[in-house]
Amino acid sequence: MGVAKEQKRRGNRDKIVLWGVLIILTIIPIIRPLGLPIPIDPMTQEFYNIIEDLPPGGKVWLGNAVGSGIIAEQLPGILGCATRLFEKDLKIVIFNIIDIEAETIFAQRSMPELENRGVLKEYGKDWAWLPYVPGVETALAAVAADIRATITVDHYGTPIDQLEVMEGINSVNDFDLVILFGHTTPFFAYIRQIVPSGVPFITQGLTMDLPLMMPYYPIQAKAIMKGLNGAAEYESLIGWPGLAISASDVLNTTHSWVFIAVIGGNIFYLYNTYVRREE
Amino acid sequence: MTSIIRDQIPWFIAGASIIIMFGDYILDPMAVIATALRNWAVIVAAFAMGLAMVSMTIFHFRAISQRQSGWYYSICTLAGMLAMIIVAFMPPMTGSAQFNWLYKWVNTVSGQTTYAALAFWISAAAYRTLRVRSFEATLMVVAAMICMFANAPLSALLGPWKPAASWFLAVPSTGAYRGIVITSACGMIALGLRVLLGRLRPWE
Repeated sequence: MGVAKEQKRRGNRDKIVLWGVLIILTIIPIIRPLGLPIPIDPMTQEFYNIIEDLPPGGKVWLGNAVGSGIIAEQLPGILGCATRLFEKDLKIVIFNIIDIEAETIFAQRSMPELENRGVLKEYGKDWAWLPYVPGVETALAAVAADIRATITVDHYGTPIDQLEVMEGINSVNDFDLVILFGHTTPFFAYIRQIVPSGVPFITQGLTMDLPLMMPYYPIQAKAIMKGLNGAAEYESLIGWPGLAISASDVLNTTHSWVFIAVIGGNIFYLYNTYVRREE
Repeated sequence: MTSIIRDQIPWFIAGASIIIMFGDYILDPMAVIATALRNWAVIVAAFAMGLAMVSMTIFHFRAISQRQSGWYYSICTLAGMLAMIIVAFMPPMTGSAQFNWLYKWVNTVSGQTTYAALAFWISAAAYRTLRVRSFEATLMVVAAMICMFANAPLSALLGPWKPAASWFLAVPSTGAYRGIVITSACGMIALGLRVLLGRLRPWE
């Protein structure tokens, strides 16, 4: 009983130290950025190249499935990508399918930032923003097959037939590129419902979802941007330093700390095992 | 009559849906019916959200009236739902300042907090479980440490660290997962066939 109590007490003490240092290492780089280098991953480079290779006027399906839980990891990515798409004079249609929160989150978090950056082009002519469609994967399949049969008005209530950017766009086949920002549920839905159309598909996944997404690279998903890390690399590539670059120092410090803590924990574990064996 | 309503009609609907959706990939004329069917599903899903709201209200009312364990959480749930419905209907619909405030400073913040809290739980779990207790555990610890630190941008400066992590992700992990994906796809086909042949009736 005494041993169990002692182990629990030690476990709690370790947790307090682990979390305390983690909090400190999160706060320090936010207050005082360390400016550590951000090397570019080949997959982020591919993501960047695919967008850069699009001709001016190319049509892009921008799939937004960023809900409240994943804002921290995906908002910088979608902002960086949207910024570059607008800069490149592409025709952008923003879809909010699968995640019910995505449309409101985009309105509250992404739109003000894009307005601040001054990159937004003329609405209706260069870009359109379509509303949420319930039905998860079935809704995605319906929209992919026939957009006008499923969605009749845009986010603002304007009939999509009145939007110049929607001219000649009836299904996913009319796009030059499909980009998705979201977690695994939308990712798998896009793999099943969008990829068979043959339109190139690229995405940004959560770092923890990567093992689930990698089997689809590079055949189904032509490029996968790796979470916040990838977003920082993308910001660096497009020359728009933003949220991700400022967060990459935090990634460095916190990951290093957990790495050291696990190694330290194992050294203590091996030492204790050795001492017990000697006794 | 009951058997027809409870058994035969759902089986016919499920079977017809499978044939139409499968046929959409093979026969062009099926596309029109498949598109209509998908659009119906979107409408049904919209109704299902309303139904879910009613169902949730009944469930939590029952929990409160019967003083079930944690009934006070049910009060919070119902109050939150009611508040969001009221502010959502304020003009302009889902665009009022009150709706945006509640969404941004209650819903979004809660979601972000829950996700951010994962960092603490995962770090504690990694610290406690990644122990070199056996040969197999040592292999797992080494792979986990390589992949974990590769998420720090700094790792790219440590020579072969990032390529090693990419190899783990692209070869053993992807290889194993592709096997799982293909197997589960075969399972899905078998499941569809069982429903089509009336051997499996999940609606019963």
